[in-house]
Amino acid sequence: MDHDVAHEAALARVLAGEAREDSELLRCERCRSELQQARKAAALARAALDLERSVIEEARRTAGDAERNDLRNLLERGRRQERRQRTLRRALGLAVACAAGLLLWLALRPSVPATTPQSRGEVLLGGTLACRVELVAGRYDVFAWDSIGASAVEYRLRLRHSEAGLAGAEIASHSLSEPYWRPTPEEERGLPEELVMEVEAYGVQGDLLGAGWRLASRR
Amino acid sequence: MPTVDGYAITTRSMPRPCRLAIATRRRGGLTSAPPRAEMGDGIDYPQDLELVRAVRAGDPRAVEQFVERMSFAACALRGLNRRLGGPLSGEDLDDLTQDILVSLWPRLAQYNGASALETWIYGFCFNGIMNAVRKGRRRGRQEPFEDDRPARVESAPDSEELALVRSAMADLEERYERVIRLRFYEELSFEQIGARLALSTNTAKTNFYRGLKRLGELLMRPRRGA
Repeated sequence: MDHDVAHEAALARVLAGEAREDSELLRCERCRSELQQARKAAALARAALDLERSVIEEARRTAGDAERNDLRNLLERGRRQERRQRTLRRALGLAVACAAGLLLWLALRPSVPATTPQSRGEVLLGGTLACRVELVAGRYDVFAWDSIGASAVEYRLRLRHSEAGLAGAEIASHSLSEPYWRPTPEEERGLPEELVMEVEAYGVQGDLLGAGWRLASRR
Repeated sequence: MPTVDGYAITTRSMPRPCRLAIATRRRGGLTSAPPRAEMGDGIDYPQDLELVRAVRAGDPRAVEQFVERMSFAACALRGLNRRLGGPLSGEDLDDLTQDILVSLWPRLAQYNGASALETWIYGFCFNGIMNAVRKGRRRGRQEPFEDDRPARVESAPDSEELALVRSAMADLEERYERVIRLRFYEELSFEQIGARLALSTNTAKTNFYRGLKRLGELLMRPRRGA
């Protein structure tokens, strides 16, 4: 006997409790097997769900203040713990982000295009004073450097021949209170095509607050 | 919809006689949860989900309502242990109760409203006991003497069979699992199931049949480690 849609519908009716299995249905081997399997599944499902329902109902009747207090305390404990963990995770995340940022900065620093005197490596002595030279019409106009502020009472500018760097012969030396020096036309004419400018900043006690140097050229 | 301190409650949170009385009064509506068509996908218990969210947000009224509803968990563990033949000693049971309740808070984040809160927590209790029993067996712990165990009806399924059918039901397609649960757990008629799930009565019957057929197949699958 072929198992068909009518058999499926009949099985659904039987399992819904609306009909009894008839002789025709029982002649179909597949119907018999499916019915047996479904009935076993139904018995187990009913047993599992009956157990669940009766356990919950009984537990609900017997639960008292002790159980409520325990649960309340444990929930509160869980909440506190979660809050602590969240704070810890945030702090850890922030630390990792800072570390990653620092590493990235360190990694990228040498490859940043040279836009400032510092990045070209032209200020080397402690890196505290950035020196610059402004040219006007191919002449030295201003020798300037970072201001240290009120703590610096004296800047000492030395101009040297460039062949030996900072060990080059001194061309001129100026003691200044402002962070720049503008040569007179006559002084400018006396300067070589290429030179090294060296600056030191001193405090009230004569203490060295910072220094810097750079190569300057009219070319 | 009945409310407690402003929170809507499902009839599942009530004793069964109350639920049945309400169900009888609501011809057509019949049960606590709105018809499936009115709800979001997969969320059968939106009020329970709302309650859990409020608890997690620290709303004290919600916490009190949650505690009122869920304080049954410790007693459920004791009841389950007794009905399954007392596999856990008093001390083991206390430890398990503590473990389950402590883990409740982090698990709340995973609750999705697909089942009633009571069912959801009962699942932890049942699985917790079964895991403890299996762990004890692996360690070769002595089972209680047969005479010390509460009497169990001979034809009733044993704990492993119950665990198997619960696991199979968890693997069932949602549409089948819902119909079987409503039929056996809430003892609804197919008309009532149809109204609850926004299905025709015939579709409810067909889903019930197909669900049982599928459940039978899942129960026949080879067991892990068997």
